[in-house]
Amino acid sequence: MELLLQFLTNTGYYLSDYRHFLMWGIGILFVYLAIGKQYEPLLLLPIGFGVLVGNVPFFKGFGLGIYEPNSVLHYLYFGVTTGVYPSIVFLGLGAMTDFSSLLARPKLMLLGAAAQMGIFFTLLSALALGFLPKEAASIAIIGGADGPTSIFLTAKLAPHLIGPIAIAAYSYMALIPIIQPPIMRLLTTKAERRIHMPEPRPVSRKELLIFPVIGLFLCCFLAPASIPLLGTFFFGNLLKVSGVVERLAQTARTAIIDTATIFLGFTVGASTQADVFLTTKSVGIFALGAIAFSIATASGVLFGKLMNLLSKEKINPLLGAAGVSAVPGSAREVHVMGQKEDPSNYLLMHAMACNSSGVIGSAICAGILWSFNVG
Amino acid sequence: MYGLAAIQQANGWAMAGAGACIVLTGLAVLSFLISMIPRLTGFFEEKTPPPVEKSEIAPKPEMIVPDKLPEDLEAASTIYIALTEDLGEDFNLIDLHRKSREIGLPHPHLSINRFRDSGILVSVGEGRFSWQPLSDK
Repeated sequence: MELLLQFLTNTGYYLSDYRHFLMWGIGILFVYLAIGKQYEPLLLLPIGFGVLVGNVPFFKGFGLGIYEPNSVLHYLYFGVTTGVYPSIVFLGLGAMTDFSSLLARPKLMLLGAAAQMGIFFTLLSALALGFLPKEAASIAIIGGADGPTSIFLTAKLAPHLIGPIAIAAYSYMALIPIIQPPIMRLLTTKAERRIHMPEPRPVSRKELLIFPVIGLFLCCFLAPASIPLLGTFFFGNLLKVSGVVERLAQTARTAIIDTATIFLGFTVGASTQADVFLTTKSVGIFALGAIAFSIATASGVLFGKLMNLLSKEKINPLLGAAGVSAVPGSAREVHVMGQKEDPSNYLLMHAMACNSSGVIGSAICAGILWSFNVG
Repeated sequence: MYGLAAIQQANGWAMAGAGACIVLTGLAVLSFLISMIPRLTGFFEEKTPPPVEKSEIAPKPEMIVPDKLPEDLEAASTIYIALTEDLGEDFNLIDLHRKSREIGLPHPHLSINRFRDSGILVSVGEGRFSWQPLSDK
């Protein structure tokens, strides 16, 4: 009888409280959004199920939880806390990205830079709300709308905030179809949304080959702290464009990135244990994340309007919204909005150019913020 | 500490200002450099013209491109299908787009989009596509 009682007091049913059920609610919501609504399923499904797994109550000290040394989950989480998974994800991203539309119209890169202003605005907001500088920098990077970059920087500066920051970053990325369109519509006129972009010029193979080398040279020399992200990103891209290692490029953009995404999403989800995740700081992080994302979108669109005014060649300001690095969600939204105004307006390729420069921009920002806060 | 005092204390204004300037300048310089790449490659190509080799392969007959594609999607798709003959059973949309522009087809992206919407051009996974003419369905 005593043995049975001991067993029962060790079950999750006995150990659970309202916080576990609240987290289970969040986990189930993520799984539902992924499967039912198909919002960023590649990310939300592993994260959502990870939230469920991480919030199974257990007897502390058994070496089961993600924060307990020597537990299996702890070893899997090692890839997050050291920044290994984000780096691998960037390798795959590089091997997927086609820079030809960006190379055909390099000035679109400025829109990718402008959309990073949300990061610095949020940095100030987080500091004003009383977050420590390292925490504020980690929260600010949510404005880059890049999950792996957010996780990478947070792992380096404020590892105790990885759970809420990763969940906020990925949630807002999944909510792009809800967050971005009202901002884009508010800041642009009908005539601006109807602007057609001229077809990009053909890009030679030489240009595609030179770009990763120049990109690495410039970005990583400028912000060496971005080497773990941009080093692998440009390497992945060189694998793709070289054309001589198709097997490696294929593996990088399929098996390798998929494996890293699975473990990244699952362990980040599992890191949201109720006692760590449900704090007032998390509420602040979610609020600031929403601001960061909105300001990033707005600054990109406003800069697009400015470029449209000053440039000889017309530029559709909607493209600025794709300057955040949520690939390809924000580019898709820009394209969809352009087509709503004029079905013959085809913005996807141009938006992808801004999107890929946003990836580079947010990784540079992560490097800058890391070097500002190192020590 | 909260508010402006907290920003001041953490040197926030300088961090935000410097950070924003660095990323803007960095990407502007990168943008300028990549706009120079075509000139650079063009310069070297002019200096060292590649030796002209006599081609042993008979030139392919030139394709006759209509000024305007037929309204019927299936008919229009035959022109595009002919383009992908040497790309294999499945191919990248980028390659199809490049080839259609090379021969001067009007508005290739719109046509490709219409083929995709109508199910003539279907995804076979991993970013590759193949034709499935309506008559096969």
